[in-house]
Amino acid sequence: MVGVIGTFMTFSVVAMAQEQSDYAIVQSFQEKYKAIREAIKEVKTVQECAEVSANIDELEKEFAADTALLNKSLYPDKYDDVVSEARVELRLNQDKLGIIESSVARITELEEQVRSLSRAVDSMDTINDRLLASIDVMSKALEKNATTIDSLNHLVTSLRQSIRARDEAIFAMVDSMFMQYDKNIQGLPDQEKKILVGKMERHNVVSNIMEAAKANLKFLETTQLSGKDLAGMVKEQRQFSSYWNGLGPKLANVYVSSKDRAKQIAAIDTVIAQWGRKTDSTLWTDLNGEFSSKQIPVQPFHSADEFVANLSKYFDDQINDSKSSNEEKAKNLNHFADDVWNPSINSQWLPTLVDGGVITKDQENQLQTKFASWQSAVKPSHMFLYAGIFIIILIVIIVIVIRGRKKPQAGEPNPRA
Amino acid sequence: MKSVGLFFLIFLAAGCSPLALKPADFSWPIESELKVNSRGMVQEDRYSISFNVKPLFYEETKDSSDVANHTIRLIRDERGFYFITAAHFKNVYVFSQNDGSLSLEKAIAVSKDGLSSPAFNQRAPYIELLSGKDRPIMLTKDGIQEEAKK
Repeated sequence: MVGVIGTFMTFSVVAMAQEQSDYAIVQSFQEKYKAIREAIKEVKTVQECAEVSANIDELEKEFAADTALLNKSLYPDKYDDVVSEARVELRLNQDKLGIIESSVARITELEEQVRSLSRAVDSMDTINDRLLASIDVMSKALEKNATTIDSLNHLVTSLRQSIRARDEAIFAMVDSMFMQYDKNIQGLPDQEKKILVGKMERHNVVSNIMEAAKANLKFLETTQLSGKDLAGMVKEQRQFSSYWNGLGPKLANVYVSSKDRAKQIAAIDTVIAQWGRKTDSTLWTDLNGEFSSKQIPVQPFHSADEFVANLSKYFDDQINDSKSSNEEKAKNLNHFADDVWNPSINSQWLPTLVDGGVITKDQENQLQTKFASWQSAVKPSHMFLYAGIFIIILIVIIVIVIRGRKKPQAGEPNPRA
Repeated sequence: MKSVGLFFLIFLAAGCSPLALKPADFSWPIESELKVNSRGMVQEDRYSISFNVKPLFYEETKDSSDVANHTIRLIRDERGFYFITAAHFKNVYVFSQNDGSLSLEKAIAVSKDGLSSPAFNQRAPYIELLSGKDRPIMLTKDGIQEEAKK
């Protein structure tokens, strides 16, 4: 996942060629440095120490290219000296508070992860908006030739990957935030809860999750996914929903005193449910289409259980068909197997539906067994065929061996002579 | 005999020229942003320099009655010339240090409408002038250096 995020981060780096004033750089450094020194004096908890430590790391990264300028401009101080001073002061404060350095280091790492993921989410926002706008324009284009369709498909794939990467980045970011607090969120002291809320607000956690759910819904509405892609989307929706089910109550607990945020959290539930309904209805319409487009009379279905039940019933009807001739039965089976079962349902849909958690492995087995029964009822079982071939081969081998052992009698010409 | 005479001439010329300490670099790493006080003076603490800017405002705007709280931007290049400008100025003024004063070397016209948010960068041997989204301009005491614009 980090790789995907990295790719998108690289995508989003826009080279801002505009010249910057050296004075402004130095001023910006001094302001940020001053804020850090003030924050060091205020730290009370391990999380606050980690946040300040991450701020120092960020300051160093941000101004790494301006070291020479800062060394000259911070006279009589030197850039490296002032950064070290901040670190030493933070360490002294940690020692005074009895905070262990290794805990700070662990939480600092998580905090840096949060910041980097937050930046990735922001940059992917821009990319996704741009991709969605392009898809919108191309979908409305009057003339559609092979090139535009190819480009459109490429855009849809890119957008889908980007949306998924963004979703993963958001949830990884929230995970890294909560992991900084070992205790149960409910048991957090008010002060720490306040800090956590501040952090969540800074990284727009609630709005980002809402945006993610909306982006997925819009993607589904804008594009016309089918087959494997659609089943993949169902899987993503299920995963998103399951993750949200774990996270939602935690967020509600953190934001217990904020009515606005509580409303937003409830609204996320609604959008995710709406997205779920939309994916399901699109999925079943598409899957029903697989049968109806080939004139195969499977009863329409609108859920996983209905799909398994109706398809099983179709198999049963075929197995118990007493009206059709043998020739017709074989023709029906071949039509079903060659046009629907082998190229699509069994090879693509069933594995993807199982993988996406839409149907269970047992349900898949049930359908495959039923289909095999239908085949056995119409055609002689392959087992008999294989057994027949095996017996013939065995007889031939035995005959060859017996003939080979038979010694040549006297008077008969020796074939080796 | 001729070469001995030439040697003496060179020796005498060297002995008469004033003492010069070379090379010397007067460049400031970054510009200073200085606020004008009620007496029209600016004070730069790091380099211990102060001077009156009322005549400068008069030169630029023909009005020096209300200069207090204006901000000027000041930088010194490696040759020791001072470059001064301010927001809404159309010129950058180049000064050299003199006996108890700064003397104008050149007023360089840099903007028809006045600089929106000027800033100097030290880019030895040039001084770079930035102003908002305008293209940076490279300056020396003699004016705009076209070739340095690339």
